[in-house]
Amino acid sequence: MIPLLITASIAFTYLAPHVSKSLKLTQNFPATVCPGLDSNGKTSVILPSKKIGIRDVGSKSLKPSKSHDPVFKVSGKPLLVDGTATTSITLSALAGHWIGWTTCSLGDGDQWFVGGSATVTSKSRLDIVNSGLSDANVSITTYGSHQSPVVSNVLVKANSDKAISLDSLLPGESFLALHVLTNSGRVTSFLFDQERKGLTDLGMDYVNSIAAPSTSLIIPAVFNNSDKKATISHSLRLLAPGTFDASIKVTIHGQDGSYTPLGFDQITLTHGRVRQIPLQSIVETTPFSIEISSDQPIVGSVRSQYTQGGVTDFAWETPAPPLTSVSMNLHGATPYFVFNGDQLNVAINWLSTTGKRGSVAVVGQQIGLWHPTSPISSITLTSQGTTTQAGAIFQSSGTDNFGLSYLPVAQGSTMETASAPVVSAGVISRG
Amino acid sequence: MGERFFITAIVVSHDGATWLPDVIAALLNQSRPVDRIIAVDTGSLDLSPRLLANAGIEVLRTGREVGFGSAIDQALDHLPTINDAQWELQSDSEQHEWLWFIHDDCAPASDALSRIIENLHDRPNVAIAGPKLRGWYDHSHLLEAGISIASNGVRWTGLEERETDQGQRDEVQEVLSVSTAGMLVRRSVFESIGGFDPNLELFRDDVDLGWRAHVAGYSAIAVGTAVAFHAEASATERRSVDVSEAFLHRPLLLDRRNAAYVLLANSSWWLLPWVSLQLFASSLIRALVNLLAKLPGYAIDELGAIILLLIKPADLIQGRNERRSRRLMPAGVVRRFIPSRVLQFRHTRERLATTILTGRLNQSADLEVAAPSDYSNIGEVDENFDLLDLSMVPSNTSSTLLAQLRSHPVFIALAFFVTLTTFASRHRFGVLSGGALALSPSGAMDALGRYAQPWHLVGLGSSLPAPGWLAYLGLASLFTWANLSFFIGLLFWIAPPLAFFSCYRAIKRFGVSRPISIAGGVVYALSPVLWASINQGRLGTMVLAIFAPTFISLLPKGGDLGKTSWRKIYSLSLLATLMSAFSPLFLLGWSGFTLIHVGYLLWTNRLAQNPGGKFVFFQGESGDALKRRIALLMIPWLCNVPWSVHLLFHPSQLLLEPGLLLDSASRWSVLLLNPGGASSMPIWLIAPGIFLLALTLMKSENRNWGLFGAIVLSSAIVLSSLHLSGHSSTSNIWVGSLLVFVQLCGLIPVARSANELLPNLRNSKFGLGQIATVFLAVVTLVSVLSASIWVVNEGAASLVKADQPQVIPAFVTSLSDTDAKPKILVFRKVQGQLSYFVSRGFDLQLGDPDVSVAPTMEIQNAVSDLIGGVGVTTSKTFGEYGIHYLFLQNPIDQNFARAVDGVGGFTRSSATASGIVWRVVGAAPRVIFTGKNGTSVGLSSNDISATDIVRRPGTITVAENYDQRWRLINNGLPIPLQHSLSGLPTFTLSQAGTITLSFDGTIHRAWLSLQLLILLVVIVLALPAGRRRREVPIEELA
Repeated sequence: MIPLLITASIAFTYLAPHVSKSLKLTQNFPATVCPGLDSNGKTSVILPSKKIGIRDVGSKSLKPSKSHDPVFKVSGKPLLVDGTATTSITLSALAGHWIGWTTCSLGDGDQWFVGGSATVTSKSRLDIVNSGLSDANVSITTYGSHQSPVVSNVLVKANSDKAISLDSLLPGESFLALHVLTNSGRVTSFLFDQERKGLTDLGMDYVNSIAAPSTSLIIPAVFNNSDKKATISHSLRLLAPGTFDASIKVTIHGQDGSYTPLGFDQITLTHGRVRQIPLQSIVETTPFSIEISSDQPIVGSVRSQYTQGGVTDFAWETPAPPLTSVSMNLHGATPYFVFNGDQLNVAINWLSTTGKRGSVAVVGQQIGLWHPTSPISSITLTSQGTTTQAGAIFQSSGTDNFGLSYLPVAQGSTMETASAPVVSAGVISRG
Repeated sequence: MGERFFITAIVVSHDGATWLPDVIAALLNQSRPVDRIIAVDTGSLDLSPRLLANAGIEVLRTGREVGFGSAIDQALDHLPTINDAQWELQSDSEQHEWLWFIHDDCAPASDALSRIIENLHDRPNVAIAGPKLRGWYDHSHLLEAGISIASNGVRWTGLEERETDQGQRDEVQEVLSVSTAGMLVRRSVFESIGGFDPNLELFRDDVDLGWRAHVAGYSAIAVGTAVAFHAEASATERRSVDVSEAFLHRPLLLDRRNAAYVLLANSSWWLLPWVSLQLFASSLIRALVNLLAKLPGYAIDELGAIILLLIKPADLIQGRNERRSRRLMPAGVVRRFIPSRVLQFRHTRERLATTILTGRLNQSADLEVAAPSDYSNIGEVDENFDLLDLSMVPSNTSSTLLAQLRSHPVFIALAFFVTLTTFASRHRFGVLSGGALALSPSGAMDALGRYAQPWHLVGLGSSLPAPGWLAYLGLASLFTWANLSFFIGLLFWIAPPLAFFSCYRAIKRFGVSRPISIAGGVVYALSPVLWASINQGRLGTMVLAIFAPTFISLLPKGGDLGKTSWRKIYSLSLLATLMSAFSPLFLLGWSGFTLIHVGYLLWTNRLAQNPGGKFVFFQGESGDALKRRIALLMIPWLCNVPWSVHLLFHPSQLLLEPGLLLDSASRWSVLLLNPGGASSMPIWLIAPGIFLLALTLMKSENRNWGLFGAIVLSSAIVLSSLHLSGHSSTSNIWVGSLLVFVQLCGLIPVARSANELLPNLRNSKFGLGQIATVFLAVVTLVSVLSASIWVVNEGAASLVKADQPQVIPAFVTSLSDTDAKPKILVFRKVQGQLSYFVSRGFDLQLGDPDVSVAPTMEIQNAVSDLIGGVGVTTSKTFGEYGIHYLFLQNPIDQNFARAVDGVGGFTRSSATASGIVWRVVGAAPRVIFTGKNGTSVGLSSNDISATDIVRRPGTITVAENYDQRWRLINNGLPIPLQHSLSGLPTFTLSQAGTITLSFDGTIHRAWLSLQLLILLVVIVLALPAGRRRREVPIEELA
C-alpha cells in the first residue's frame, strides 16, 4: 500500500502543473540611416512604403513624419527611416548621368571601407552620421599604399553628420582603405567616391562597407558585358590590416566555370599597406564573382570602370554578407542579380511597375545570374540553399542616364530580438 | 630547652550526628592523647549533644544562631585554668597551651595530633598548624593542605580538580592559614590577636585568622603527614546554616560576603579600590555563569554578598580599625600566599578543561550504544564480528602512525575529506564570492551592524529586516578574530569534513557500528546536494547540511516527546532556530511537520475531558507532549524575529534560500537527489540516495522514514518546477535543503538495517538480501569514487571563487563618499538576458540580496524605454532617483550601447575593458532642496541621515525608496512625509532653518531587543543546568 502511495505521490509531482520562467521578448527592426548627398547631386531614398516614419538627421523635431511618397528626395541631410523588414535604398545621381546605389543601414559601430582616393582628381568624402541624441566619438584609421596608417578622432555632435574629405585624411594617396570605429554614439558612416578631372566627371559610386576583415572574401557580383563598344576594366584593391603580411589567392567564378587568373594564385600583401592590382585576362563576358582566400584577415573590393561613348563611370564591388531573405523596392530599376554559393537555390518574387507579379528560382552551382525583363517595383530574394552571397549591378547606357553601380544584397537592419531587461541583484555581485 | 604542649580540643557541633561518632572516636584515640576536650553544641536538633555527652565530653549548649567563633569564645571562657598537675612541670621546659578546633564532621587520623606536634618543636614562630584534609567519603581525595584566598575572593587551595592524595603533599609547608577543621592554634597568640572576628561567624574565619597571625609576626604551617577527614557538611549544604549572619540560610551568600570582608578588612588601604573592583567584577562574572547554569539563587548570592557588605560598612570599618591596632607587620607580608592572576587563570582553565573533558567522556560513555564491543557481549561467537568491528579494537602492539591511523578509521576518513576539500578548494583560498554568495563584509562588526540597521543601503534602499544568519555568521566569525571573509572561506573549505563527521556521529547515535557509520558519513559528504551548495555559494544549504544529521539524531526516538526533558526541547529548538535562519525552507517544513503533530495531539486530547466538561489539552503525558511540540513550533519563529515576522506576512519568501537566486535543475535531476544548476555534479553521476530511500521501504520498521522521505522528495520535485521572484532576482526554487533531509531519510535507516543484517548475511541463504547488498555496495562504491574524482577535477571549477574582480569601476566607487552619494545603474548581459540593478557604488555584499527590493516601477519603465530607444525622459527619471551613472559591463551589448547613445541625456565617461560608463546629465544628489522658484541645491548627506541648513522655504526630496519611517525635523518641528510625483519621499518646508533627516528605527530596535531577550532565555534554558551543592550525590562528594 505504502509503495503505491509513494509511487502515486511521485507521479503526481510530475503531473502537477509547473510554472516556467516567463521572459518578455521584444522584437524590432532598428531605424536605419540613409546618406544625404549635398546640393551638387540628387539623392532619393526608395522607402518600403509611403507610410513609414522618416526624419532628417539634424532637424530639431525628434518626431518622425510620413513621407507620403515611396521615393523621398532628401534635402542634403541624412535621413533616419523607421525600421521595417524591407530595406530602404538610396539612389544618388550627379547631373542625371552617374548613379550610385547604397543600402540604408544601421551601422554596427565598426565599418571598413575599401575604396576612394585622396588624389587631386578625387572628390571622395566620408559622411559620418550620428543619429543619436548624444555626442559621438569616432576613430578613423586611414590606410594608404605608401604611407603608414593614420588615426583621426572625430567628434560628431548629437543628431548631426560630418562630412570629411578623403584628401584631408591622407593627402596624395591614390589607393585608400578606411576603418571607421565608433567609440560612442549611434553612428552610421557612408563613403562616397567621386572622381573628376578638370571639368570632366569620371564617375561616382558609394563604397559599401565591410563588417570585418576575413580570410575569405566573396564579392558576388562584378560588372561585365559583351558590348564591343564599351571599355571595361577591373582592379582589385586589398588590405591586410593585421600585423602580418598576407598571402592571397584569387578565384574567378564565371558562367564558364571557376579559375584563377594567371599570377593571382599567390600574391603577397604587405600588412598595413593598400594594394591595388589590375585584374586582366578576364575571359568572361557576363557578370562574375570573385573569391579571395587569404592566410591572414583581409578586406578588399573590386573597382570596375565602364566607358562607352566617351563617358565613364565606375562601381565599387564589395563583399556581401550571406543572403537570408531581403526585400527592397527598386523603383523601376532592372539590375543584374548575381549569386554566389556552392549550391544555389534562391527564390525571387517580384512585383513589376505594371503591377505584375512574378517569381523565379535561381538554382545552380557556384554562380547564378538573373536579370529582370521588366522594371521592378519591389523584390524579395530568399536563399534556400547553402551559404549564398548576392549582389546587384545597376547599369544604364543611355546618354542621358549613363551609369554603373553596385549594391550588395543585404538587409539594412536585421530584426533584433531581445528579452526585456530584468531586475537582478546578481549584476552587481562579484563572480 | 624543651617545650611542653597542652592540647585543648574544642569540638563544635551543629546537627552533626551523622559524623560525630567517628569524630569522637578519632579524637579519643589519638596516639598523642588530647589533654582536655570540651564541646560546644550550637542548638543541634539531632542527637549530637547526647553523643558527645555519652562519650564523656563536657558539652556547652548555645543557641542555633551562634557562630563558630562565638562558640570557641564561649568554650574558652568556660575552660578552667590549667593547674600545675596538669602541666607536669619540668624545669627546662616552656608551657604552651594549644587549642585544637574540631568540627563535628572532621575526623583526624589517630596520629594526626602527634605528627603536627612533632613539627612544632623546632618552629617557635608557628602559631597555627593544621593537618592535610582529605575527603570523608573518598579518603584518597585531597581537599586541602593549607589554604589562602585569591584576589577575587575565591578560597584557594592550590590543588587540582579532584586531586588524589599520593603523598605528593606530605611535606610541611608554610601557608597563609589552615582550615578550622583540625586547626591547632597557640592559645596565647589566638587571644592576643583577638580570636576569630565576630563578623565572620562561619566561613573564611580561618583565612582571616591566619592573615592576622602573619601580620602579627607569626606563621602557619600545614603538616602533610598529619591527616584529617572532612565532610564539609556546611559548604556542601548537607546541613542548614543557622548562624545569625546567615539570616537567609544561604551558605554561598555568607561565604562570598565573608570572602569580601576578609579581603577588604585585611588589605592595605591603597589596594582597596583595586580589590573592590576585582571583587565586584568576579562576582558579576560568577553571577552570570550561575545564571547560565540556571542557578539564579547562586547568582543572587554572588551579587547579594557585595550588597550586604556595602549596606553595612560600619562592620568593615571597625574590623579594619581593630586590625590596624594589632598589626606589627604590613598587610603585604601575606602577598606570597596570595595566588597570582596567572596562576588563577591557569587554574580556572584547567578546571574548565577537566569539566568539559569529563562531561564529554561521560557523554561518550552514554552514547556508546548497544553495539557489541567485545565477544562477551555478543553471546554467540560470530566471525563477522571481526570484520565489522575490527577498527574498534585498539591495537596495543602497533606504535607507528600508520598503525595508529588504521585503528582509527574516522581519522582516515577525515584526512581523506580534508585532502579532498583542499584540492577542490584550490580556487577558493581567499575572499569568496560568486554564484549565490555575495562578497563578505570586512568584519564581524560590519555584519552585525548590517543586521541591526533599519535601513539597508542596497538598490534604492530597503527597510526589510535582515535575516538572522547574517548575525550568526558575524558572531561565529569571532572565532577567526572577527574576520568574516576568512571565516566564510574556512567554512566552505571545512564543510565536507564537517558534514562527514556530523553524519557519522548521527548514524552512530542510532546504534550503528563505526564502519557502517563511517560509510554513511562518506556517502553523505559526497552527496550532490552538498557539493552543489558549496560550488554555487548556497551558504544556507551548506550550513543546513552540516547541522541536519545532528538535528535528526537528537530528535526523540519514536517521536515520544512527553518524556523528553525540557532542556533537550530547548536545545532542539535552538538548533532548529539556527537552521531556520539559514534555510527558510527548513523553517517552513519544520513548522508544517510540527503543526501536524500539534493538530493531531489537540485532536486526540480533546477527547480527554474532565468532569466539568472543559477540554484539558495540557494534562497528562499527551499534554506534556503537546506543550513540547508547541515549544518546538514557536521557538524558531520567536528567536528569528523580526525576520520571521516578515516571512509570516510574505510566505512566498519562505521558499527562498539565502543569497542570490540561481537557476537549478529539472525535476528528473531532483528525483535523483541532485539539485543541479551550474557547477553541480552531472546527472549521470548517480548518487545512491534514491536507492537508499527505496530500500527503506523494504523493511517495515524503516517504512516511516521512507514515507517521510518520499513526501519531502515529492514536495521538492513540485517546488523545483516553480519559478519565484525575490531577493531582486528570479529563478526556479532551489530545493537543496529538502534534498538534504531526503538523503538522510534514506541513509540513516539503511545504515541501521545494514548494522543488523550484515553480521548475519554470511550465514543466511542466498536471496534478496544479498542481491540488494551487493547492488547497493557497488552503486555506492562507484558513486563515491566517481564523485571524488569529479570533485577534484571539474568540481573545482565552481561559481564561487576567491578574489573575483570588482564589478563597479574604482572611480565610481570613490565617488560614494561625496555628499551626493551617487547611485549607479548597472547593466550586464547574462546568458542572453540583459539584467540590471542599482548599486550604491559598491559591489553586492553578504545579506544584501536578502533585503534588497526591486527598483520602483518608474525605474523599471525608464529602463524599458531606454532599451527600446524611446526613452527621451529616461535620464530625467534616473536623475531624480539619484542615479548618476549607467554602467554597461562587458561583454558589451552593442545594441544597448547604441540605444543609450541614441536616447540622449547620457554622456560617456569611460569605455574600458570592464565596460562603458555613461554619466546621467543633471542627476540629483541624494538629498535635494528645491526652492519655490524651482532652483535646486544638493544638501550634505550621510549614508542614511542628513543635516543641513536651508535658506528659504521649499521642498526636500530624498532619492531613496519611499518608506513611512522617513522623518524630517525642521527647526525642531516634525514635517509631514509626502510622496513626490516620482514616488520619492518628500517634505514641504514652510520656513528656512536647520533640517535633520533620519530614518526611524525604533520599532526595528524593539524587535531586535525582543529577539535578543528570547534568544538569551532559550539559550539559558538549553544549557546544562548546574547542580546545587546539596544535590551533588554522596558518591561524588569528597
